[in-house]
Amino acid sequence: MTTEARISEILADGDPVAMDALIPQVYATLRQLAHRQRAYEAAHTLQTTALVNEACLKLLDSSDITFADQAHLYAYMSRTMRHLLIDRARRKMAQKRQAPEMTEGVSPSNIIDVLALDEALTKLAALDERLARVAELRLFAELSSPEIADAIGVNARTVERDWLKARTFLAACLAPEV
Amino acid sequence: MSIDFIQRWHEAEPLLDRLLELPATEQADWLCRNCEDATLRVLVTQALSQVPVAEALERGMAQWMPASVGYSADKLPAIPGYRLLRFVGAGGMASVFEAERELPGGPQKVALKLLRIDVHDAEERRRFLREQSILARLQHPHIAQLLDAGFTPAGTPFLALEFVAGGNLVQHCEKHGIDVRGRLALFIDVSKAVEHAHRSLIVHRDLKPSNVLIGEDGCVKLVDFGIAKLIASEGESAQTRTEVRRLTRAYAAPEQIIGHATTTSVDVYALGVLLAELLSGLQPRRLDSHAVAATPVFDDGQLRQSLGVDLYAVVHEAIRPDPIRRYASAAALREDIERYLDGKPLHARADTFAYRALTFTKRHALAVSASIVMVMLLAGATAAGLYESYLARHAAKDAHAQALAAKSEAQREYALKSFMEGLFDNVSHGAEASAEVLLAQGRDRADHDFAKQPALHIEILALIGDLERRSGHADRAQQPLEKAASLAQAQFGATDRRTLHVEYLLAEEADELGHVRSGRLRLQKAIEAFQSGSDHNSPEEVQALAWLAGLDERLGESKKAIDIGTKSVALAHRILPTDSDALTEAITNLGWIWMDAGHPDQAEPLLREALARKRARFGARHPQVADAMTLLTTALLPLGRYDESEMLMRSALDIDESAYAGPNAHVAGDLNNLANVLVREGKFTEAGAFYEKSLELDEKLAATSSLGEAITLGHLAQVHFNQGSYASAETGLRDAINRKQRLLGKDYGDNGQSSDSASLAEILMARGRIGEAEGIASRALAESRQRHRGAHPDVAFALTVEAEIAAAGGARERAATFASEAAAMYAALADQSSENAIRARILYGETLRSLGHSMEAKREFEGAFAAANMITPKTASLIAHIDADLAGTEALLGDRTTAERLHTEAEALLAGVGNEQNSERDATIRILAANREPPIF
Repeated sequence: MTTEARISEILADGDPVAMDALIPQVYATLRQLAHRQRAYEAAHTLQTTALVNEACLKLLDSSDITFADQAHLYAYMSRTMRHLLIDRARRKMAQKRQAPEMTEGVSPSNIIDVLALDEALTKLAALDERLARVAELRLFAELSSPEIADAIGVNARTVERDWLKARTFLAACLAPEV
Repeated sequence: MSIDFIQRWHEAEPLLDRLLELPATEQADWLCRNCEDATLRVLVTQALSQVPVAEALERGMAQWMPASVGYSADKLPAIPGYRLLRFVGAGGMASVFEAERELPGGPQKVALKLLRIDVHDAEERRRFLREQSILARLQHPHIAQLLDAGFTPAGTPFLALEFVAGGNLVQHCEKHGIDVRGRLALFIDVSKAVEHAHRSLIVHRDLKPSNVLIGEDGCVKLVDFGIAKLIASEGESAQTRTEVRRLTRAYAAPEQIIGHATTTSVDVYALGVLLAELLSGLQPRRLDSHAVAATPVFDDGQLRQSLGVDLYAVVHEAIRPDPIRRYASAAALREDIERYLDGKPLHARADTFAYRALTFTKRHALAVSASIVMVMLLAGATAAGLYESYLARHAAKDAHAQALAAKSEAQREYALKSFMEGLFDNVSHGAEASAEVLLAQGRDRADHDFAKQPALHIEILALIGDLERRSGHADRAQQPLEKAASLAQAQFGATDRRTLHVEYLLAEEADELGHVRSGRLRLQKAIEAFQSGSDHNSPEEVQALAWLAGLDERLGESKKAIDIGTKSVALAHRILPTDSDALTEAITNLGWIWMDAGHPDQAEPLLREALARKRARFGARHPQVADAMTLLTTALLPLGRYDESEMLMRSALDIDESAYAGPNAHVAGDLNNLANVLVREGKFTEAGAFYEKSLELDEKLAATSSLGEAITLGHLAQVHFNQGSYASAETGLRDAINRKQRLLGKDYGDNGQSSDSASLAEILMARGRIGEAEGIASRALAESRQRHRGAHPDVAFALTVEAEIAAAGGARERAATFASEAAAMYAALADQSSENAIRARILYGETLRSLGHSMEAKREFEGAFAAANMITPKTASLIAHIDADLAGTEALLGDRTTAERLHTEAEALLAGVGNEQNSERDATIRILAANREPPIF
């Protein structure tokens, strides 16, 4: 468990290599959490929160973070993922600036620029907090609509519509200026 | 744009709430109706049209992650009944594992795919299982068999497929240095697998090298058949189509990228890209977010160079942006490759389709692909066929014959009905069956189910071919029609009416493909053969004769066309019941021929009758009625009946707008025709607006620029010319001409080329480039004379333009000669009242006066004046123009009182023209000013 432990420590430490390594781990943790939770829910609806908390503590191996419910956990994880990605993107940009000739091939242009996305999400949050949360959970925690619905306490249809609206907003912000 | 959008977010949001519930095709309309603020409308539309960015957002984390994330050896998911061995890889849709399926007889090696979707809803789960049960039935030696499917305990759907050990086709060929013939042989297997799936109504939708694998035995295996469809959930709006966002853009057909209904031709496209990559080693471009859907994925020159002429032609034909113009099927693509391997000539050919989407001759083509419309069409076509035979039955003389006919008719009716029901039953489980797939399946079933009932077999093949053509795929009609023809020939012989009927359908198809000459020859032979028999007086003969006449007219043989057309109508009147459809068609056809031959006066009563008959038959608001209105309008326009034309076109537009959902060629055509009327009435601004609307529709309709668009651009250029904006008129018309040239190739000659050239010459002259204009005008005249023996409106127009140019260059004698010939030709055509005829006459008058023949000039002006006054409603600027000319002439002849009266009249008329830009008004003002100059007054 050591490799995926101590998210908070690694974040605090700021070691780039460790941080990059963290990205897939956080991702995997999130996926497992989502699966696990669904399985638990089917069987023991009442104990969900407790179980998820337990699972999470085990995965994070971190005693100084506690979560009131899975919503907080998801929020934390997706925020973490967002920051890790932003950080990686910034570092890549800095490297390019220092040694442009060393750049390893242009990144495919159909990949969203994380920094621009971050900026757009911040703008969206200023206009509509819920849309931004839905987008963050969808983009960085890859939660499905029902999962997001559970996490933020609205119904899945609303989440679906919120996501489409948020996506339209983000697409408008990220679209290449003509 | 983003800043503006953000600022107006709170206004945009409620609109988005509604818009995102609608299918993408309806959003624009809704927005137009519900948002009056144009800026906001544009901002919202732009935001919604960022499809590539939205797609990328949908990909979520996957795009920022290394591919193999998520599963390490110690954390393979658990699925009861399977033992997962290792994580193989992850694509856009699924994570793939090598696994063992636990079976009683020992484990079976499988590829296990965990799909990246969460199926939470009970109905969705049922749909997933239903779809996979269809896929499970797909069995072919070159398709990896779907073995099992279900849900993991966590609810993730999974598929178990036959495990294929080797790498993908492209890598395999590279690695083993396989030569071109070897590669083509493997590709043929790929095509066959795709053909097989298409016959079962399954479209792959995501063909690419990584889905074409080579097994340990060196054989091709296609994987992931229909999976793209499987994971696109039914309830999703077009905007969120899982399918679209997960597509591999380099291999996706343009219509797929923009979210149109998926047909088998998307697989043909992907096969084309795959073939190019396999043969050339060139990688298709991954289209970036800036690229429009129809951007080519290969560099054309590079491709041509590395493939050589023949294989380039094959690839080119397969990856045309417009699905209608691709190979009609995977089989057609494969057959061409086989022809290549056998050293036979290819079917892939240069761009010679006469693709006349919006011309009147193609008035029956329905640009539809939705299966529901197809159902209606198919039902309608059969019903119409049955109706005709019902009439024929009643026409049979003795009671016994009637009873016999009725019995066999009832059997036939039953067989056809159950065939059709069977056809639709197979797809009624919710699969999105395109017209094409339905018809392909119908063709198969016809061969299969009716092999022992040749009469029905032929009828169904003919029906399918006809429906292919009517749904806009004349090219695909050929195969079933040819087959029906040869079966009919063998079964019934050339003197049978059923054989003739199939030949007639083939002629319609040939016409649509632009093979006018060969089509005409074949039809004529078929008619002669039929007439040599004893089975006369059938509706089929009427139809065939009518169509033959139409083909003659298209070849410029107006006299022959009118002769045969008149015969077909007479025959129809003699032998058919008064309410027969074949009679209506014969009348319509003859009306069109008279009109096209430049005799609108003869055409008008026929087309009016056709309209009345269609109203009586189909009801007042049927699209067929709208078509008849459009046709009648084309005859009314040259007769100067603008008010009635405008009314008819507005009704036709109204009917078509309510009859067809979404953007379609009919409405685009109506908009165009209405605008044509408005131009004649001098309502240039309104006309321009309708042309623009028509263009918008065209853009939505076709992934690539269409002929309809080119025609509209040409009309729009004419508006600019009338408004005196000569520079933009020139740019616009040249654009239109280039597009037509490109789209029609050598068939442009049959489709108004000389008339376009003459118009261009007119514009150049107005811009003062007389020399350039001269060259173009004389070529236009030569071309039109070559096409049409004797009098024809196109020749007359070219003559008029020649006269104008000569006059502008000071060659008065020459101008008068041309103008006189033009005026005489309009007279020979019995056309005094069309705008072009009147203008030719005015011009002739003006040239006569410049030569000092004032009396003769006066006669022409008076003739023109009388004709112009026949136009309803009156066109003020045209009459003022003639008044001004007459005033000047009267002054020359010494009648100052009349001159003054006419002068005042002209000024009063001009005052009523309004403030719109109008070059004729300006020209008339100049004539009036010149009249005032000494020594005249």
